[in-house]
This record gives sequence, structure tokens and C-alpha cells, in this order.
Amino acid sequence: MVQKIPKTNDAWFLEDLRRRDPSAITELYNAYANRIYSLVFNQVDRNHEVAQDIVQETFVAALKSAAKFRGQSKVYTWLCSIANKKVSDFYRRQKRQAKYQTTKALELDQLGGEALASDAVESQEKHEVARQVLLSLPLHYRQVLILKYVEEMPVLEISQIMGRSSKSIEGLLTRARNELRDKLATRSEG
Amino acid sequence: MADFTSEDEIKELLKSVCQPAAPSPEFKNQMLQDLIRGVGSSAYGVTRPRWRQPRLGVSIAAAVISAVIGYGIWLGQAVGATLVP
Repeated sequence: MVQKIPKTNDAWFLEDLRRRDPSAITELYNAYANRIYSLVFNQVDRNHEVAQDIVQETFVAALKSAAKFRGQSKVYTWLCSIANKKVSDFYRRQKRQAKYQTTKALELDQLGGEALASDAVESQEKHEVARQVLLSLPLHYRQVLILKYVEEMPVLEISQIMGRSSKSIEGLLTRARNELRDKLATRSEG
Repeated sequence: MADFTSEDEIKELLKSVCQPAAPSPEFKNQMLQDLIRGVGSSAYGVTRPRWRQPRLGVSIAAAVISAVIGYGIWLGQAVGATLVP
């Protein structure tokens, strides 16, 4: 289904959104809910429940802050920046509760040698290993890699989303790529 | 396993790992209804004029009180000075 994308510089649309006009909310939601869901879903280890909560928080926060949004970036970029912050908040909360990340990290450590040591490395296993390696990266590495290679966003847009300079994003991307490569190499040597 | 030296290899890997996903239609409909309903209630908060925002109000009140006290002290000193022969 082709979704209608509201134009960033469509002043009427933004004005309607600021006034919280139901049809503008519906338009925003229909245009971006799936894309934001997908982005969040891949950042939170493909957990539907968590993704649903974060997407809901994202849209509520977007409507709250619509009055401050002046259309200086694309609407999708603006929503991505809110979603990314919500994902960071989620992991911060999880870290505080010492549940999710620690258990995951532990599982990943245990998996480190074993999973890839098996001589028959099937395609499914490779895929699973890659997924786990991605999950084991620090969140900002994961976010920048997903925005760059999955969302195929230019560095400028990523810098708007992550609130950093383009130069800083280039550096972050280099470090994230290197860590991804190193971890994949370590696992395949396993 | 490939050594992922090229951008294309990384892209291919990440695209295969991070495949598009969509929420269930029930969730989507419910959330849209919640968002629209939230507009009618105070769920998103009401935008108040800046001067009516609590923090700003307290700051202004503190500044006014300080100014009144300061003026009182200054006036006391000024009057005292004029009375001294």
C-alpha cells in the first residue's frame, strides 16, 4: 500500500498538527507508524511488546512537542530522533533495573565461543549470530548503523536525529563498523 | 563468513538482520484511537502562556519580592542619610 507522506514544508499540515487536528494526527500516524515501528523493533531485539510501548511513547511525545517543531528537518527525521531517545530511555530504565541488558550480555558472552565454533555454520546460524553481534554493540553504535545501512539515511540526517555534528557521526560510524567487524571476526574464529 | 570490509557487505548483513516489521492492525487502530482521544483530554498537556508556567511564575515572584525588599533597604538608608544633620 502506498502511504501518503506529509510534506515537511507543508505549513498547513504542521499548523494542523500543532492544533492537534485529528485528521492531521491520523495522516501523520498512517504515514509513519510502520516505519517508526520497524526502526524501533530492530533496535530492541525484535521484541514486539517493547516496540509497541516505545512507538506509543514516541507519537505521544511528538504530539506534545509538535508546537516546537518548525519543519527544520523532515517529519520522519524528527520522529526518528524522538524514537531514538525513547529507545535510549528504555535501555537506561532497563539498566537501572539490571534486568534486560545484563541477562542479554550474559547470554551473548556464553554464546560467544560456542555458537560459531560448530563447524556446520548454516545460513540461519550466521544470521542469528549477526543479529546477536548487532545486539551486543553499544546502543549508539547500533542506532547509527541501523540509520545508515538499514534506513539508508545520509550523515546529515543522522546527525539531526542523534543531535551530533556530521563529523562526529562519521567518527561514530567508523568506530561502530570496526567493532561490528571485530566482533564478527572473533565469533567466526571462535 | 565474509570479513565485511566493504560498505556493501555491511549493508547486506544489516538489511538481512533488520528486516522491516509492522505492528498488528489491532494495535495500530487502538493506538490511533488513543492518540486522537488524548487530544480531547489533558493527556498531552495544555500549552500555557510562558508567564503562567509554574517555574517561571515562581522566579518572577522571587524577583519582585527581592526588588521590593531591596528598594525598602535603599529607601531606609536614603531617608536616614537625609535626616542626619
